[in-house]
Amino acid sequence: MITEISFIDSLIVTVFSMLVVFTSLLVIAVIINWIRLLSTEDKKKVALNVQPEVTVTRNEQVEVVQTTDNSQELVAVIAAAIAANLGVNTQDINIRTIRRVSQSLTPWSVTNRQEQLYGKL
Amino acid sequence: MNLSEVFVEFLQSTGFANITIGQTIMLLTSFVLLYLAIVKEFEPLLLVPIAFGMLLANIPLAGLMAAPEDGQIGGLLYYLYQGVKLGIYPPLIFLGVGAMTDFGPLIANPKSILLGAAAQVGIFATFIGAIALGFTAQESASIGIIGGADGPTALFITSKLAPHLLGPIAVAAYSYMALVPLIQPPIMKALTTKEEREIVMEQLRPVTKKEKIIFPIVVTVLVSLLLPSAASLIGMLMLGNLLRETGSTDRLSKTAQNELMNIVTIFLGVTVGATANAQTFLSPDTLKIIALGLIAFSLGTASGVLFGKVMCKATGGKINPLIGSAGVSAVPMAARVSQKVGQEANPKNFLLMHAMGPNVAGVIGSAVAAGLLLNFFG
Repeated sequence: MITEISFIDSLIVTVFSMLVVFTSLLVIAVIINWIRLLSTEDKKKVALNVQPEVTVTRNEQVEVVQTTDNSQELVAVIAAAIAANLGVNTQDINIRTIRRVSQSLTPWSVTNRQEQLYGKL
Repeated sequence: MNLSEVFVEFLQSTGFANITIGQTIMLLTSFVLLYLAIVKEFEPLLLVPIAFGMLLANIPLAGLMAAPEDGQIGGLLYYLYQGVKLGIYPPLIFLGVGAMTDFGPLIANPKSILLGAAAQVGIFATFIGAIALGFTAQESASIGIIGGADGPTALFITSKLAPHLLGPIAVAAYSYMALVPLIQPPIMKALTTKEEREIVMEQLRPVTKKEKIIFPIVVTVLVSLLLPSAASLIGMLMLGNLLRETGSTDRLSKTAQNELMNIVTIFLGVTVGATANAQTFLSPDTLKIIALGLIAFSLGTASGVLFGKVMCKATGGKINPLIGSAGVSAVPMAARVSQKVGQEANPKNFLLMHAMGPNVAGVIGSAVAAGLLLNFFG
């Protein structure tokens, strides 16, 4: 086991180690990008299979929510929630489309912003 | 035998009659650390067990750290310490850390991983400094790793390379981690302009579950193949993360990040504190280690920020250099510091999630650095 090393040797160890650290993390970054591409391709496939929309008609309210799957239960739940919120019967509202809105903020960001806001209160 | 003889014998068998000046100083040191942990709330979850371990190990005649001898069993802390000596506790802590860590921000912005690499400069620069001050290669490697701002990694390396320095290195590492909000901001402000600190970064993209599941597996395979000596740290970190992300191992994930982590933290803290006995702790080397630890931390912060500036220029001003300082690990404290300093410059700035990328990358980076040091000097 090496115990005593010179100052020059320690410099060599440092340069070599930093190169290895950078290279290994760079390779991880490249692989993360590949995983992302893989995942994006999957999304495209899913997008091709998406069924166009559930339409419901309307009386007075037009709700635009949404979905990329065809779960009838989900549609029923959304319709019931809207009706309950409006205080009317499900037959009295017409839902034209239900679309899934992509989440622009991660839950972390939302939580952080809320904490910031509450911190100011 | 008369009553007075019994009384004198009793007095002579007490710790009061046998305590040395060194032990008294160590007891006082443990009181100071307990004060900092409880009143000032400096990393109390770790500093309380460490300080109490220090207190117990310096009680005269108690023999809590005594090794078994002549058929007598050893002290309680001696047996618990085997988990540190054999390198068992730090990887278990990493299991819990992995289960608590969201690598999403890193996956969303893979470039930020380079900031986690840049901040490891502190480790190696301090390693050079320690060599220059006359420490052995093993001791220098253990001291340098303080700059990784990663307690379990520092203890893992030190237990393998320089176990006699465990006490001072643990105290230095955890004290500085607690002092991150005080140490980092002046360095960050000194190395950046107000315009740079005001940069608002683009919103991170959402990360799919598939990416989050593949990530720990890929990192484990890659890093472990490259540096087998880092496999136990990285492997446990990524196993914990996989348990978190699969969606079907919630119970295991919760155990890893709560009960298991807490139990191991108690054992680790108490026994590491117990290595700080008067003979080893009260030496000029301890002061040198504490000074070098501060240098390591500061250099890690500075190199992260400077690399952040390089990335800022390279991306046409899309990266706020302040997130570079989070590359020193100290999750999530260092990321919070980036957020705080960024928000001081621009109240509309939300850097927390952007800083979490380099922050968790720093954990991987310091584990890689630890593996390298073990390769060279283990």
